[in-house]
Amino acid sequence: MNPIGGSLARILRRRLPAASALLAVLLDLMPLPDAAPERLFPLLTPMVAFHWALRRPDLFTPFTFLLVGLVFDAAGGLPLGTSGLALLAACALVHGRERTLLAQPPLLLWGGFALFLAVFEAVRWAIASAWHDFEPRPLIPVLGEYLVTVLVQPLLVPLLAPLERLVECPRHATGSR
Amino acid sequence: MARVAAPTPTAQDIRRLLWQRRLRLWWLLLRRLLRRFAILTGAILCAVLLVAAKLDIALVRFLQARAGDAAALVLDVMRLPLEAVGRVGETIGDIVAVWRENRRLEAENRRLLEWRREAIRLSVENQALRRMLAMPTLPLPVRRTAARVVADPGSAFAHTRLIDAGSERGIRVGMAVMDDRGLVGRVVAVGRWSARILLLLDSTSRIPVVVEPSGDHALLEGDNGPYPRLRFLPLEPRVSVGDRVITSGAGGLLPPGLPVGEVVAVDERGVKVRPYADWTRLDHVVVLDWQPPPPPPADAQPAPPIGPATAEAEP
Repeated sequence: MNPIGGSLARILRRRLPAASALLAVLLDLMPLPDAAPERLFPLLTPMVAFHWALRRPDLFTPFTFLLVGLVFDAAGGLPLGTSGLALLAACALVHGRERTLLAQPPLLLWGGFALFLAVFEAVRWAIASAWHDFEPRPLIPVLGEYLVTVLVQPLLVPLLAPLERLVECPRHATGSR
Repeated sequence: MARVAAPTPTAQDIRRLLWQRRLRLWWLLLRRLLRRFAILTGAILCAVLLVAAKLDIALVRFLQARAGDAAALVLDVMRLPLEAVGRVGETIGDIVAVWRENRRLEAENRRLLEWRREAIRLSVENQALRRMLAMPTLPLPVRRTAARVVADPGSAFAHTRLIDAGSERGIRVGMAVMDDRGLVGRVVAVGRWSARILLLLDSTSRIPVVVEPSGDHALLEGDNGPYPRLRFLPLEPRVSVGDRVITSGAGGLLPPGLPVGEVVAVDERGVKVRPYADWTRLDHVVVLDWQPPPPPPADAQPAPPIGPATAEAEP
């Protein structure tokens, strides 16, 4: 591959985590067939964000969390900043602890995601309640969405694994990336 | 070989160079700080955006409308493969269901013919009664704009839909939105090519309604669940399960008489309504452009009394 093509491919590969998170936002917003509003669907965005935040913190920084959250709010009609703040709060949980978390067995990692999502949903619920004159929003749909997302999360990890390999940048002769 | 002497830098050059160095130093420091406190910086930015959104600042509204436009365009393309898969599934389901449906329809057809005869009789009677009351047969002409649902926020907090019709097709905030069965919600935000509908089920939705046949007025309030509730009913409401709920037109925002739903539960916790709208097949909707009738002039004469008094007045 010529040098320009090679560097372009490398840049594109490095944008894959953010791009996959933005795709997850769009999938979260897609009207699915036979989807009644009261039915519960897993939230893909926090799943993808958690995955990349652990595996590629160099490419999925807090600013990526912020960008993804703002796109989610803007396209989803939520007050601008709601999901951004919630994602950043959840990001604070894993930021700087990536290696420790990745060294854990899968079950504990799943527990880590449950905690990550709990922070995300709790902050969103708190902001939504504060937005509506501090009147607490119904908790049941939030809990339902939380449980469904936690249950589905292990299924998403194998789907993101090929992408992970694609993102891997070739090492230089020096061994550095 | 003669060497060319480098020009001696002037005091101005040195000052400029110093400023450039200083600016570069500040920029590096700012970048390092931003990286170090990225989460805090992002959180502060989000808080500022939330306050701006709460204060309903025009720029935030504009950004959100444009983002809706962009999302509508992208999602419109993305839903094509999903629709194809859905169509295959639907075809299989249709073939299985067609025989059962046919038998049901035959029975229903017989019943509907009976109803049709009854409806014609009632329609003639109704027109005669309306003539007597000097009432218009329909509120006012309503312009309908068909649109496709292109996005669903899929959140437990907001029950909204994004449609692919915006201000370019005459959509305005406040317009009523229906599917083929009943009221779906109303338009709450409009972009150039897209608009956002607030569904009846959303906890911020309030629709003035009237319950038939009692005629009790109420406010239909969503609670993010499948069954919105009736609030502000009269002290002794005459509401029972199976009653029909239609829009009252109070406030002039929505046209009166639009079918909304059916009462499914009346208990001490309130009155629950099942909307007629079919949320599972909300692919296409119709946006109603309705103008409330102008208020009568101040010097208008009151309507003549109805009944024996009118009959007596006639020669």
